Amino acid sequence: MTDLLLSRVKADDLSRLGTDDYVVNMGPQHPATHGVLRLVVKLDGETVKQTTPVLGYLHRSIEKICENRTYPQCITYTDRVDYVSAMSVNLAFALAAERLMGIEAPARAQWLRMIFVELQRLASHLLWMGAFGGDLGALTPFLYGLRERERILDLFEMTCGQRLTYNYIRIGGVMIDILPEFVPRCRSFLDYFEPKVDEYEDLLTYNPIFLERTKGVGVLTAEEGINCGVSGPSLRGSGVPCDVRKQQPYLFYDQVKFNEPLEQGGDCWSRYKVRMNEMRESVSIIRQCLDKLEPGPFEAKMPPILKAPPASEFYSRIESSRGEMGIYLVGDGTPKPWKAKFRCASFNNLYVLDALTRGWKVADIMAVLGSFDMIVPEVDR
Amino acid sequence: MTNDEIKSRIETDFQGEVLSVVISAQKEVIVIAKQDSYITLCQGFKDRQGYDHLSSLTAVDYPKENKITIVCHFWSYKNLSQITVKLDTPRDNPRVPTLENIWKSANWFEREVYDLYGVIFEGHSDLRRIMMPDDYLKHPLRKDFTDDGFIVKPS
Repeated sequence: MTDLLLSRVKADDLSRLGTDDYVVNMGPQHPATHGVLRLVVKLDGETVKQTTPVLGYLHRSIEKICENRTYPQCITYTDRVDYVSAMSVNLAFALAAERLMGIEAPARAQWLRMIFVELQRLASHLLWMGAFGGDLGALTPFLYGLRERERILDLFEMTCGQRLTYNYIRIGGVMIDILPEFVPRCRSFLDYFEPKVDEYEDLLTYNPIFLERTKGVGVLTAEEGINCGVSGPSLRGSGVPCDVRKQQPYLFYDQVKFNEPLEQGGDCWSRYKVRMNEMRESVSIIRQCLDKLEPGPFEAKMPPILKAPPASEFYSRIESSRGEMGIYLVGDGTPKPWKAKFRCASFNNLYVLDALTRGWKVADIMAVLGSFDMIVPEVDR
Repeated sequence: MTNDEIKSRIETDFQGEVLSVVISAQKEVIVIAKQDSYITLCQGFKDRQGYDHLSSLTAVDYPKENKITIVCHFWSYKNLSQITVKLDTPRDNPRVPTLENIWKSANWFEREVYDLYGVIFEGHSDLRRIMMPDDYLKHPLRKDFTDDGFIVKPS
C-alpha cells in the first residue's frame, strides 16, 4: 500500500514537502572557536541559515572589578582582558589614566612602550596565523608561528619576567628599564624575523587549498563594516583606512614612518593578507624606535596615591592587535575609577559573523571566524 | 578640526536640539542631548556631520543624582574627529530610544547596557541579556548591586 502511494507521489511534490532546519551547537568547547564561545547554527543541509553567537561564558566582570580597585591595581586586570595581546590593553588603560590625572610619561618610556606594543602585535599575529591555518587544515604554519613567537616571549621575559600577562606598561611609564643586552637581541631577532614573513607567505598565501577556502568567502563590504563597528585589520581588508595610529596618533606614532596596509577584497583572504603585511610594518616601526631610543628616566614623577580629579572623564583609543581598543574612564576624585568601560575590537567584529556566514557552508564558519582574529575573553571581558 | 570648530559647528547645525555643548578638561567635545531629539540628533551627526562610526556606547550610574547617563562616542572616518554624546535617564525607570536603526553595532552595545544596567532601549529588535545568564535577576554594574544576587533561585 505504501509503495503504491509513494509511486504516485511525483518528484516535484517531494520538494514541496519541505524540510526542517537543523540546529547545531558549535561550542562552548570547540577547538576552532579559540576560547569558550558558543555558536547556535541553523542549517539547511550544509548551508548556514543563521548563526547566533551566545556570549558570556568567560564573563569575569572586569569592569565591575576595576570600579573596586585603585588605578594601578586595574592594570593587572587589563592583562586578562586580552591575554594574547596584553601589552596593548595595558597601554590603553595607562594612556586613559594618565590623561585623567595629567601625567606625562617621559620620552624613553614612550619609545619603550611602542617597541613592546609592536612586538606584541607580531606575537599576536603569529599566533593568529598559526591558528587560522590550523582552522583550515594546514597545521604547519602553527609550528612556524609559535617558533618565532617564542623568541618574542623570551624578549618579554627578559625585561619584565612574564610571558603572557606582563603588567609592564604602567601609569606614568613602564615597570622597569630594559637590560643593556635587550637592544642587540631585539635587533638580531628582527633581522632573523623579517625574511620569515616571506616564508609564511610561501606556505599559505597562494596555496591552492588555502585560496579555495578563503578567496571570496565571507565578503564584508566597506559600508557594512563601518556600520557594524568592525575595526582594525578586519576593516582594512575591506579597503577602509582606519588605523588609529595614523588617524589619532598616540605615543610617538606621528614620528615614525609606516604604511597602512589595505586590501580591497573584503574576503577572508584580504583580512589575512592585511595582517601579513602588518607584520612587516611592525618590524620597520620597531627598528625606527630602537634607533630613536635615548637614555633617560623610564617613569614620570608621580604622587604616592594616584587620584583622578572629580567629574573627569576620558575615552582613549589605541590600535591593538585586533583593532580599535577603547577605554572610557570616569574619575570621581578618589583613587578608584567610578566607571571603566573596555571597548574591545573582538566584541564588534563578532557581531558581523551572522551576516557574513549566511548562505555559506558550515565549514566556512571556521574560515570567517578565524579571519577575524577573535579572542573570546576580550568579547566577554 | 579643532575642538572649538567642532563645537561651533554643532551649535549652529543643531540649534535647539542639544541642551549644551562643552569642552571637557581632558579636551573632548561633549554634547548633552535631550530625550525627545536624541534619535534625530544622532541621525544628524551621522548624515550631516560625517560621524559614521559608533565607537562605543555605554552607561554610567549616578545613584546620588538618581540618574543613569548613556554615553556614546562617535568617530568620523571622513574628517577624523571624535565627539561624545550623553543622555540622562531616570534611574528608577530608565528608558531610552534605540540607535540600532542608525548603527547596527548599537545592537550588541545596547544589549550589554540593558544586561548590566537595566536600561530599556525602546524599539530594540532583540533586547536580551548578553553576558549574564538569561534567568539572572539583577543588573551587576549598578552601584547598589550586592552579590547575593549570584544565587539564582530555583524556579
